[in-house]
Amino acid sequence: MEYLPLFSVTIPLLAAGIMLLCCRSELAIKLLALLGSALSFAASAGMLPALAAGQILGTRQGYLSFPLHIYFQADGVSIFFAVIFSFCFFLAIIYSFSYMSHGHAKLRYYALLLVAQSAILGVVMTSSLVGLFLFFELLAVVSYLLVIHEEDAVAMSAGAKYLFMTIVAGFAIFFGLVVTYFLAGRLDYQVGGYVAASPLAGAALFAFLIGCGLKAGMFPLHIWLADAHPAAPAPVSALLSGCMIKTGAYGLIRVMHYVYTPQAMQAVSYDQVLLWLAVATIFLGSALALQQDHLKRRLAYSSVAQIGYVLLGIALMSEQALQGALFHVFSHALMKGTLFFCAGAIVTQTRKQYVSQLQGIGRQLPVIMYSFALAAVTIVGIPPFNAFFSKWHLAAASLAAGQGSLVAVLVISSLLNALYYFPIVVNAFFGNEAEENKFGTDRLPDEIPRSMLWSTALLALLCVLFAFVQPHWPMELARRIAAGIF
Amino acid sequence: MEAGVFIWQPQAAVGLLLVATLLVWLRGEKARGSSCLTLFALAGAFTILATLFPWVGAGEILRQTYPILPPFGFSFQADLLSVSLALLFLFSGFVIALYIAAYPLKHDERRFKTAFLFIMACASGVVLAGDLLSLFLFFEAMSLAFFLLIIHNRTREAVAATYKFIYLTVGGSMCYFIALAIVFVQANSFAWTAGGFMSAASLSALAFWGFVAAFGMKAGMVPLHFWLAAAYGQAPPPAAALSSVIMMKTGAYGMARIFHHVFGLEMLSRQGWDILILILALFTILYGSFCAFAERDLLRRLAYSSMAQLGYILFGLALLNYAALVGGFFHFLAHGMMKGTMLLCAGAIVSKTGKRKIADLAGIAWQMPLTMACFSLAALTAVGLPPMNVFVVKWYLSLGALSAGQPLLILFLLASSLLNAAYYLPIVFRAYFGAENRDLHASLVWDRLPWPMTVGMLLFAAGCIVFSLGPVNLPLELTKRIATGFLY
Repeated sequence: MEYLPLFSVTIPLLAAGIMLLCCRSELAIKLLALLGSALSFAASAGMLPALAAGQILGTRQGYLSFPLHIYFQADGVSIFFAVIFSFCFFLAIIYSFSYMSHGHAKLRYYALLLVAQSAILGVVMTSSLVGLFLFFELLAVVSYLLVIHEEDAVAMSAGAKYLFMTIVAGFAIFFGLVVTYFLAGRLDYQVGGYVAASPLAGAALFAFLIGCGLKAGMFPLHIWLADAHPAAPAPVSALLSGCMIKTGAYGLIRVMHYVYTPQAMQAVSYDQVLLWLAVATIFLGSALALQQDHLKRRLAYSSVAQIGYVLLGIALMSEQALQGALFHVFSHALMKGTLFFCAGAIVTQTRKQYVSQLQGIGRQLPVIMYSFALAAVTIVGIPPFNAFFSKWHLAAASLAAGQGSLVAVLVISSLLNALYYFPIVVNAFFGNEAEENKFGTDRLPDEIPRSMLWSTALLALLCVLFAFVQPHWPMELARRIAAGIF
Repeated sequence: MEAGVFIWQPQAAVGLLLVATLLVWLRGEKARGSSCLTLFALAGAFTILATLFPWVGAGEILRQTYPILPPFGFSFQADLLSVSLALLFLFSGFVIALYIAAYPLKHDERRFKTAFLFIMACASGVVLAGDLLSLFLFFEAMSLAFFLLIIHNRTREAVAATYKFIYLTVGGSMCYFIALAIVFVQANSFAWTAGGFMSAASLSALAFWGFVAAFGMKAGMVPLHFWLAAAYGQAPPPAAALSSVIMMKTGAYGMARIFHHVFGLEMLSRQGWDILILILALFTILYGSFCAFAERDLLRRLAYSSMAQLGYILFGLALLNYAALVGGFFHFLAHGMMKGTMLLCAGAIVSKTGKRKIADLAGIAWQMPLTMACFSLAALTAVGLPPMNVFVVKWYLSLGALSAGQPLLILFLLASSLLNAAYYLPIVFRAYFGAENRDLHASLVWDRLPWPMTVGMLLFAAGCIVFSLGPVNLPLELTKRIATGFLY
């Protein structure tokens, strides 16, 4: 049991290594990718009982010395994020089987996906900011390689922008790290934090805000996101939007609740700054998403808006708000994963990338567009779909904090969500096909490879399924974690 | 520092290398034999010095003086720093010698190999010398011998680069000579003394800056750096590796000795010299990084990058505190392994394909996959990604800057790291990826390098990361002990 955090990180890495060294047939590559990812997911899911019991899993065995050691340990927050992440990776690998069937460099692609899974689990499964930083950097390099997978000019330039911005984010985190270590002599996590207020601590906090905020796609550091996410292959886009930007939010939760004391944050009005940035992120992301005709770019800007909700929940500094933020991590991972999977399916089946081309596409790809509709309804926040609960808690926490205007922010943002998602759905099913967009009648409906179809549909169903299961256990877990912090 | 027990190891190691140099010369052009001889001599010297470890590891400072060089005799000193550095040099020299054994030098192999081994002997002598004059002797011989390597190709540019180098070297030795004379008159002693032995008399400043000029020139410190790019551009790449990994480090080593064991930290900080050195170090870091960024020739880019990296060491020395000193000393190893890998890879590329312009290197990874894999690891190391060596250096230098109450200095290090990323990573990524490279995947061939060259690159590349992989970073522990010994 105590080795599960280590296993969940090392198994995909090991699988990637074996794959690079000895797999040459496509079937073997796929099987190994599936196996590595599934075992890692199983290891993460196997830790759920520990989360429910409030245990911290892990050993005191230190690895590496650069000169800091990393320890593989998982507490509630780690396990919550790890289960979501590893599940999304697992589905993305299944989805890739058909998405990548005509792609190039498959060995590299699957190996990189496995390494990325290992890195993202490493971010959450290590018990200090050191491990977080180490795996952040690994994740940055690997996601760069995934973003440029197509190797065309668009992908290369988007990738370069992403890489250099994320390297700067790494440097900001490095600065925060070294200052924290200098002030406190430690970098591990402790509920309530241990770094007291000082000018240097304030500087380090803002360095962390820059570093984690950039990874999360927070305004005004979001500018890499709308290029990098659409340029990547669709499963990678789903992971970038669904999982990787959440690591920034995870980092902020750790810094704010486990490393720095509330006094240190109050001294620089940290939560206020984060709050305003979160509000700006929400509005800006939604406003920009409205303008995009390119479907994946619209989804990418929508991710900016949605990460704004998570940051808002973190910034409000209350138990209920954090619960809402954590739950939104869960619900956004599922719904944005679904949406990118749908976009990928549309592109592979019809080569259509622009929203204006999608009229009537629901008649050709019904299951895909039903899934899209389900995710769209979820993202707008209609009960009983997942995101409704996160917005509910965020709104309640805003009121409790005496910030009634934030409720208006949430409402307006939901409205904007509706404005840029519903027309796609409505047009897809009821739109008149323009002459040049006419779909041939020779195609059977949803002639889509099965792995793509199933993974999309499953993810879409999960957007609503939990509402009908009592107790609503993802929400319950989020509540326990939040209660443990405050 | 009183005279310890009789030690023979430093003399034996240097003597062995000098004798081997003579033998290599006498063997003539029989290439294989002289390569084996070189490797055996380096390994032998390494083994001899390694036997000193039980004593120096316990913190002892062993000295041996011979009354052969007036006024104070010729002395060797073995302490933890000098033995560790000598071992590092000998190991690196062994790797480079292995590489040279298979490197296509085309002509005058005897001269090249003799000069190489002679430089190795002198570089070991520099770090094992026990006083200013003995060090001077080795330092001069080493510096002058290097011109034989720069001029190897005998082109017009090579000759020009050689002249540049020689004039600077001679200028540096003049500075050293004047400084030595002042020290002799003022202190009547040359031997390393903990805490320094110079007093703050009127000419001390001249002596200090004389030494700094001599050593700074070797370490590529601004404004004495301009021999570097020309020399790296013309010398065969293994010679550039020798310079980056070993010779430039002797300059930094000399600075450390001057600061700590001749003038003393108290005097440095009282006179404000440490601030000046710090400013020079920052200039060196930024100027080197910018020049490297602007440079289009691979070898010249690596030259400017070496200069910037040596700036890290000067930065660590100038901050005068424990953490910074650990960072600076550890960079001897970190930079040696990183830049050694890169220069050996560059040599492999140049010798195999004749390509030197960075723009021509697109797609090279599909022709020389192993070479580019090593280069990529070194490039990521240079950016300072954990867990590779340079991260450790940046970590301690940053802690040092914080201890000195100068958190903003960290931004200089980060700016330099960003420039490192900007001038190394595009080489790496264009070598592997890009629309024009997609068709090359299928035509992947292995490097087809002679095995000693491959092994050399792999050894250095492994050195970039291997020490951080275990739960205890042995070289770092050693470095900490050296720094402790220097400061307390």
